[in-house]
Order: sequence, then structure tokens, then C-alpha cells
Amino acid sequence: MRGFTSRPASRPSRTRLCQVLAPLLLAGSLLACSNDNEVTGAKGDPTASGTQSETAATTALAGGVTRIVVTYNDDTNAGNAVTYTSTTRHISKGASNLGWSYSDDGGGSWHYGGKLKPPKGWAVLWGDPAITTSQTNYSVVFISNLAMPNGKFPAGGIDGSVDPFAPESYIGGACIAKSTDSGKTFANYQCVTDTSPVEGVGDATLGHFYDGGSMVASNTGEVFAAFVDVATSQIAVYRSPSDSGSFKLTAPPFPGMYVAAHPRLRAARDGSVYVAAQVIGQDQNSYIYLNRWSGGSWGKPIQASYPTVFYGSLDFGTQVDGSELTLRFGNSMSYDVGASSPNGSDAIRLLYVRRDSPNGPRYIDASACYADLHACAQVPQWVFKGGGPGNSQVDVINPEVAAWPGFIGLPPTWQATWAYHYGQTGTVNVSRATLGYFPGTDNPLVIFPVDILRNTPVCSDSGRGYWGDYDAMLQVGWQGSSSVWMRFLTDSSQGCPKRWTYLGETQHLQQANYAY
Amino acid sequence: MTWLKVMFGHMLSGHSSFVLLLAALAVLPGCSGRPPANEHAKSSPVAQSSPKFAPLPAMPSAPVRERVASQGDCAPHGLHGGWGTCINGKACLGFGVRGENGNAVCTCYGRTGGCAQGQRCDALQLACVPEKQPPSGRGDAD
Repeated sequence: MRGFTSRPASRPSRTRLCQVLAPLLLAGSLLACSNDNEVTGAKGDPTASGTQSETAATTALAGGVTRIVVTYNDDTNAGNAVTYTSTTRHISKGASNLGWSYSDDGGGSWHYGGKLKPPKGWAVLWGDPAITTSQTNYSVVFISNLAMPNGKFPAGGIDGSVDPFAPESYIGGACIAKSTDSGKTFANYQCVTDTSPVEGVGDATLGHFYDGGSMVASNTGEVFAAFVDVATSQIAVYRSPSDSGSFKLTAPPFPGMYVAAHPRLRAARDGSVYVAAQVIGQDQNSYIYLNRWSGGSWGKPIQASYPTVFYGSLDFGTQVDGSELTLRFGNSMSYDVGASSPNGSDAIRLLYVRRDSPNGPRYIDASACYADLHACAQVPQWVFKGGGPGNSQVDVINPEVAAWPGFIGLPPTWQATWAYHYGQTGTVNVSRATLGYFPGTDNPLVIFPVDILRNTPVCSDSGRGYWGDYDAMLQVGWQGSSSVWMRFLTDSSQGCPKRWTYLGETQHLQQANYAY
Repeated sequence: MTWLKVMFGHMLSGHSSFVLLLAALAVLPGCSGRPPANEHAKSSPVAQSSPKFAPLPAMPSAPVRERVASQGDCAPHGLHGGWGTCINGKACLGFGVRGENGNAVCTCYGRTGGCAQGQRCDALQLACVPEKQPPSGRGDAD
């Protein structure tokens, strides 16, 4: 553990003043309080021998203690299941990316939970992790991973990409694992797949190609898992009526639309569940849409954004280990459901990445929606567009929004984090910000970001720029009446001696937490 | 803190740099593992009554039409294998759907006519992307 550190922090901030007056500045010298350490990769830990990236996290209760459970794409001890050369990789039957770690002391120390083998009938568990905790039993935790069924897996294994030519591919569903000991151990629970035929997708009957993953449990006891069905360009949402039930496919939440991107599920206190994804508009741009599950069915989808960035990749303008350093990202939006103003117009708060021109900076835009989704609107004060020193471009990626709805003596809070990069450096920073209002007014606070991680070196693979497509943020506890928030990120602080087409070493995990 | 003021001063007008300097100084003493007290005091998670937001311009979603099968042997092949279809006897960089008049139409997720030469219709991004972009590339770096 690196210990509690007071980090030199703060960074370009966009205030209302700045929106009017000037390009933004890089302050670079304010102090923020954050507490960060390595989650995986410590010397002597089993995870030190492999790579880990791309996180989903939850909390559970273990004997009265809050346990933080984080799952990730786990290439630990892959053995011969996945082998690499400088130009390709070979994936053998039995490979698994489903690994997890947990902490019982608020993130002070972490324990590797291990990884699951694919269940019978399935050849490979292939990441894009999602996780949730049952709301009727806090010791029950679920993890999902994309999965390759035996029927789509080549006899000789896979060389190179697992997406040879989407929508036809090796992935054909997803598998869900369950823990009944608060995330200490997991066992395969159920795999989900859709084998209905799709015109033009020759292998659809072997299992539709799924991508992304999100899980949530509702206060009514239901558990949901969602993936993007690339074969049908829809979001596939599976629902189990309880934490011991069977997951079944619901009706499409966005019928009559072309839908893509990793879906994101969230739950409200009243038991309703929300799904967000990106929808193609008539102008060919992608827009974030939301829909709500309530009373046993989906409601009417609603547009919740301006045009937003889809998948993308950042060029850092520098080289590492002899090749251009790029960073691929797969999550361009995040939202949550929480405390709302008296008129209810901001029960849902959404941050997403926008870009005004093909080579312009990627920046944060913001929306707010009513809980019943009858309307959404832009919140200009929560827009954040940074600018670096020397007029360098700042690009913001992977926003995360998390709400604490409040309880007796514990006030509600809205927090957000995101990663950003500027200049010709091989590093990224992570900022946090509050989505709130000036007290006693109807005026939203301007975004005033504070760094919680600075100058984190990036060691993506050379072929795809992969360094984890998304990361988790969640509320993990309290300090007095302040909420403690945790954000995960890939950790390459041990160096970057190897950048191959499908492998960047080192890639482990780190977390930064702070109280607000 | 003089250098901070100087740096701000270079980048912003005197008034605005002063405001930001005050903000910076306000955060400085708060590093005790707890949130800066002033930060909590100066924000509320909810508005007093009815916050005013800006309307979002509505954009209808691209219409989804029934897919039709590729027919004939004119489907184009690309760098990574075949990804086109043969629609109405013409190469289609995309897929066929049933048009409003019932005839087959080439499209790429709402882009009528499909993709241009040098592109392919990508099922992950639901868009025309450069043909050279490999699967899982998810966008050219810029």
C-alpha cells in the first residue's frame, strides 16, 4: 500500500467565469485529499504474474463488515490458456478472464479471490465484467462475463481478435457467477444466450454476439444483467425475479432503434431499474437514450443527450517501448439515480463525452432527467471542457457518476470522476467533482474538478491501445457524515517493458478514494 | 503562492485570476483525509425548488427496417474477409433492408446506400468505418 497521501492536485477547471472569459487554465497546485493504493500486482500477490484491467465493483456485507468486491479482466496465471507473441495471441479452450479481488478494510488491503473456469458447454469466459449485490441479501453477489460457447469455438483455438468480423464472432452469450459469502468465492450460476436466427448473421443460431456488460439489483429483489446484442443491434436485458431465480430475456428496451455501446443499468429506491445505451439518430450521430423498468415492463425510451462520442481512441503523441502510445476507451457515459430537487427534474444525472469536431477535444456534457423519464434537459453548468498548459488539448474519457441517496444523518451526495489526458505525455490523471447546487438556490454549481490521481503512466497494448475500456466508481463507506468514494483505474506504475499487439505489461489495478 | 498568482495572471485577466486564486487557497487547508469543510458548506445536492436547465434538441432515431437477404454473388470482400452484401444485383457495403415501397435498399444502420468505397459497415459502432480498421479497433486514434 502506498499509504495515505496528500497529492498535489487540481487541474484545469471550467468555471462559469472561464466559460465566458478564457480558455481554461491548468492550476496544477491545489491540494486534494485522496488515498490510493494498488489493488492487484503487488509483489508476492498471485496477480503480479499477469495483467488485470477494466473494472466493475460493488460492496457487500460480510459479518457486519463492508466488503468491497472488484472484478476485472483477469489475465492472471493464464498458463497456456492465452499465450502471446509480439504480433498475435492464441486463446485455448478453458481460458477465463473472470477474476476478482476484495477488501475488508475500506481498500487498505486487497485479497485476490481467484478466477472461475468456464462452465460446462462454454469454452471461454471473456471479460467485460459487471457486478452487483442482491438488495435482499447483502451477502449475495453476482458477476457476469462475456462467454464463448463450445459451438462457436474453433477446434484449434483462436488466433488474434475475438471479433473476426462482427456481428459474427466467437462470443455467443454471457455467463453469470454467484457468491453467497459476500464476494469471497464465486461459482458459475447461469449462462444466457440468444440463439434466434438473424438475417445476415450466419452464426446467430449458435448464440448472438454480446458485448459490454452491466448488472444491477433492485430493492424489490430482482436482479438484472444487460449486454449489447451486436447481432440485433439491441440491448439484451435479462431479469431474475430474485437472487435465487432464473435470468430470462426481457422485451427490448429500445425497440425500433439501432442501439450500441456498452449498456449501463442503475436502480432507484422505488424498485425501478434504468438502462442507458447509445442510439443512432437520423443524422447518423449517436445519442444516449434511457428507459425505465417499472411494474414489470419497459416504458418509453427518451433521448437524454446531444450527439456523443462512441468508442474511440486517444493518440498521446508520444512513443512508449518503440511504438505510438494510444488509449482505447469503451465507455463514454455514466449516470445514476439519486436525490432530486423538489420538482424532481434532476433525479437522474448523466455525464457523457462530447466532441464538436473530428479532431477537437473530448469534453464532458451533462444532462438531468425526471425519474419517470418524461423529460430530460442539459445542465450547462455541469459541462466541463478543460485546457492544458501551452494551449494543449485536454481530452476527457470514461466519466463515472455515483449518487448516495441519503439516510438519517447521512446526507445525499452526487459525485463524478473522469480520466483526462493532455500534452505529449504518457500519463493520465483522474479528477473528481460534485454535481450539486449553490445552497439555497436553484443554480447548479459549476464544475470544479480536483485531481485524485495524477501522472498515472499508461501502458496500453500496441495493437489496439487497450488499457481497460472502462472503470468502476462507487460509494464504499463513511467518514463521519461524509461519504467515501472509490474510483478504480489500471495501474502501470511498475513500468512498461513490453508493448505487444495484444499485450501491454505492466497492467494491474489501483484505486483512489476520497471523502466528501 | 506568488508563482501561482503569476501563472494565473498570465492566463486570465486580473479579476478572474484573483477569483480562482481565492478558490485555490480555500481548498489548501482541507487536507486531513476529510473533505474540505468549505466545499460541503458551499454545495447542496439538490436545488431549492425548480432548477432551470437547457432544452435538448430532439433528434429522431434512425428508422429500423426489416432486413432482407443478400442475393447473388456480387457481395464485396474486404481486407478482413467478407463484410458486404449483394442487394438488387449491386455490391452493398452494408446490408439490405425493406424500403418503404417494399423494395430492397442497401443501408448501414440508417445510412442509405451503405458505406463508401474504402469503408466497411461496422456492427459494433453501427457506422461506416475505414476498411483498414481492424475488428476491435473501435476507432482510429487521433
